Amino acid sequence: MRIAVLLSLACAVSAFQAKQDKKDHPKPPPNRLEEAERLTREQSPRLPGASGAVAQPVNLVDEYIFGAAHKAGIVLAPPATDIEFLRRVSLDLTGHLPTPERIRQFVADAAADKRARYTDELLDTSTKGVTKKPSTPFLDRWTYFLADLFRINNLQLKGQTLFYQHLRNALLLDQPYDEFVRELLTASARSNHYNAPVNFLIRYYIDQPNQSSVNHEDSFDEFAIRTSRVFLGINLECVSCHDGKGHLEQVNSWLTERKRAELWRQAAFFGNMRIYRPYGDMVDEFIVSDDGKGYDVASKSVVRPPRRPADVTPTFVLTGEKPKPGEEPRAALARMIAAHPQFARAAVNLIWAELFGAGLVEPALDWDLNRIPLHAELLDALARDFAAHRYSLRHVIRLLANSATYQLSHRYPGEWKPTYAGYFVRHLIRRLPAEQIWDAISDSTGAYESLPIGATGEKAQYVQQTVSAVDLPEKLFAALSSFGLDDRTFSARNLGFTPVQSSILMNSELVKAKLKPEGKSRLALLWKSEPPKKNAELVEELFLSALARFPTKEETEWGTAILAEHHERGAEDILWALLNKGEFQLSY
Amino acid sequence: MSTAFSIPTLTRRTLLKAGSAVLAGFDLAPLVSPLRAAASGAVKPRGSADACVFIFLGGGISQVDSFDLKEGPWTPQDFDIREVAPGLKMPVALFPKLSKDFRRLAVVRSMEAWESEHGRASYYLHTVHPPSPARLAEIPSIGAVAAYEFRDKRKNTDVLPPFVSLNYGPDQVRQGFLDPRFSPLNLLTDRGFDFVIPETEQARFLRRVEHLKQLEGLSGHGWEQERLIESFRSDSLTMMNAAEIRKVLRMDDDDRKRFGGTKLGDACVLARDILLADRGTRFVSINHGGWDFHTNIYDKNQKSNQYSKSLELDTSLAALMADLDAAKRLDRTLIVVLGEFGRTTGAVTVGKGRDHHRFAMSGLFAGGGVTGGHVIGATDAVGERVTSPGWSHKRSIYPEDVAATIYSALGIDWTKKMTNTPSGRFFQYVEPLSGTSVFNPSEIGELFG
Repeated sequence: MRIAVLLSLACAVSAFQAKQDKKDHPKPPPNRLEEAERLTREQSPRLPGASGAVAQPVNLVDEYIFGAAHKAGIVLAPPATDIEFLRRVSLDLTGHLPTPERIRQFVADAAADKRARYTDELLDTSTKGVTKKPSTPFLDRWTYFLADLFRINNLQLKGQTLFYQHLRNALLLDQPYDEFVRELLTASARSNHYNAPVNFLIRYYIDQPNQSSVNHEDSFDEFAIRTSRVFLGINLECVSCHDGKGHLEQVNSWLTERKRAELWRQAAFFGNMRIYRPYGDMVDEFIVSDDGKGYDVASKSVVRPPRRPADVTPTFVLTGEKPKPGEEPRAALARMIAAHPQFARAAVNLIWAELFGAGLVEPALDWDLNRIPLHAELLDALARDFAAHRYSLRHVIRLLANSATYQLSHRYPGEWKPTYAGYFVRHLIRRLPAEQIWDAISDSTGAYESLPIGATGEKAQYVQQTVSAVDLPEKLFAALSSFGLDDRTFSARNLGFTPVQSSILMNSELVKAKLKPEGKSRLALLWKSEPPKKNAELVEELFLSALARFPTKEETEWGTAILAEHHERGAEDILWALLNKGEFQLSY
Repeated sequence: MSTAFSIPTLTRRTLLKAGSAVLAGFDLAPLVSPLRAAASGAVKPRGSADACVFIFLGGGISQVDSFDLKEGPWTPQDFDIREVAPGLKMPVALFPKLSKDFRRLAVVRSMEAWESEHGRASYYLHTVHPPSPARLAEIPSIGAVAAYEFRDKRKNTDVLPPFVSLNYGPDQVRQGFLDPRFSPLNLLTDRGFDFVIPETEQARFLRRVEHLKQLEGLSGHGWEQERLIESFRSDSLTMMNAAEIRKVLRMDDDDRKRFGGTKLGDACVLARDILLADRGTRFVSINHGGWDFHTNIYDKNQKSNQYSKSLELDTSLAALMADLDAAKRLDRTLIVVLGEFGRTTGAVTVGKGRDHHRFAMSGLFAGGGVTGGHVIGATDAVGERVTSPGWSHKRSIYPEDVAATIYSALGIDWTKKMTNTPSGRFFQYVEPLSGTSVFNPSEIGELFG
């Protein structure tokens, strides 16, 4: 009962009823709630590989998630083991596997708070006493995440590179997300090559081959669509061409009530913007100012059906609010977006989706605001907490990673039903994104890439350090495309499986080259280690490098037998097999 | 806890407003239940082909500079325009090979697209369904549906996948909610194929696979995703280990030269070899992008222009048809060549190019029972609007009609419905309406003489 009383609003009523039951009947028949608790208590710890414990609520996430699960009578998975947690949290927070040394150290650490300390270690970008700007895998991974979200591609290379560096800085300094977004929405500049935030909107500028044929309202429509999508989680794209009614009944109830004119009024917040290339069509340098003429509904769209006469006073689509007298429209929009609860909800939901493999609301960029999400109260609690912590993205990431819910095992006691997925009662297994698979191959083999970082002239070891995967060498880009890379222009991320993926991992020159014991590769260094490693030690090292876990007794025997047959070639074969083993490319 | 603002919680009132569409949990599991498919029996598929090659002219070929030629002051002098068949004027300089021998090709000039943006129009053409955000992920491409329909005809010796796509970008063709068995195997011809194990590495490769299988026997976790990876790997290995595959994927250098030595040429060589190998492939989709000439369409100094693109298509398509014909396979292989929309007409734009235009486009059809050497439909004087549909339905021809034609040729009832989709809405191979326009799609029977 203790857990139940702690629980969320979601199950407050049933917890109350359970109490009442106890008062009236000293020994009540087991109800669903108690049954779920009992099964969790008794069965979870006994699962193969389970740590023998029952998950205990740690923070506000667990109060709601555990509460909702118990209320629905759904059993919780046991806590993940240390080694599962270590791999999971390393991949989610930094996009990389933990190193063999760090795994050994972590396992040897007996302190009760070692998980939280490890999370802090990954998140740390302290600038105290440093002489060089910190650069950590955490910054790489989340800059890449934001670059995906804002769809930075290789068009306008210079401006987009500057914007990429801006994202990195915002994360490094843990800039409040509301302030960060306000800057993006209101930026103007004499040159986008010297002002970073202004490149956010320029990315969505709808260009035409000739500047005289540009319809600025097309760009304003696009700005309205993109900004409400990434900052509010709502997709106005459909109603940018037609009213929702008669089209979206089976798609999105809230959107059926939206009219195309509402999109124009939302776009009208951008209507005073003037965006142009001072040096002509061929130079990707832009001036952005706010001395334009306002949204002209009579102008002819180049990309959408003709507009019709309508009131186009800037009006916020969620509240109907208009700018205050004298208030600059973009500043008004920034104020309204950041103040609306949906802003914080959408943001925490995006972070949740990154860590849990699915959002509390799915699709995370496509909410139906007429639906109450299953975890509405949790979303609001997280949103309030986000605001209370000065909109720190890092705070949300830490909170989620430290929750007992995030640290549940992927193993599940009893029968798993697909409908349980939305309850997050176990960790959902998913394929790693293309970039993380590739960087994991680099880390496992110790053979790194040398990739361009946008227009900086610097080189990156990892795909996750690039400004955009579009800049990758053609063959690597093609290989990653097969793993469902998001090119941020035409395609969306895809985490599905195909036979081509297997053929790349098994037989591509790109992977085969990395397996060779050359230069400072993993195997080259292993052969040089003094004193020479015993076969069982080699096998362990390879398992830790590739799978971030220790081999079982049988697996050690499997590996040592291969090494006994062919020592050096055998080690390559083992590494090959580990990269091709299913778990290598899965987050679990 | 202090809060910067007070968040009104999502309330019951919103719940009531939403009617029945509330509190839905979501389901991340892949579809496991068998598909429920029902044919209407209202149409009679002709079954004149065993396979289909679909060549996608991505970007949108200009109809008035190719198969619906309209002359004007804008027409370059060196187009070398001649009447190559009754009623068929062609820019011979751009299509020298096809112009010489048009007897295999039928031209349809009365086509329209529903969309005028590349992504949406391309999606529409490949799936013949509107790009609805709610259904984007679940709607399969025509090729995947064809693959599904041929599932029972697959033999043990069919080591090639039923649906092969060549040179497509990620996600352009897809199996949607259909089983991954019907997903396109997408090969990039300029990348080399990881399905071919170098001769010198054969023995070691086999040993590695043996090791991997032993390892998996020791420590499988029993996860669904692990099973999927293993099953795809097994498909992949089947192809790698089949001797014919090595032959198919090798691409003869003389052939490559004869087919033009371009990405399209290589794709056509591959399509030919895949079809002649006869190992289970029923649908080959080829992406031949780069037709989006908003600027400098006639400028030969540009790396890519109307001349260069047309010559690529001319060489490759002529060679593909000739080879399939020589192997007596053309009559059972339907070839369809089409872009996602047409281009603006009359004088070129200020950028010396042509923009997107959805109200008129032309397509080519050959093989699979199609009667060559004739033209269906006509447009106005500049090629902007369809004036004469040229077929029994007395309206323009849409992507749905093309799909119905492909399905019909392959012996598939195009009105068939599947009812247990992830979204809960039925999936009809070809829907009787697009958005809100009901237009009853039909096969283009006139193609078959």
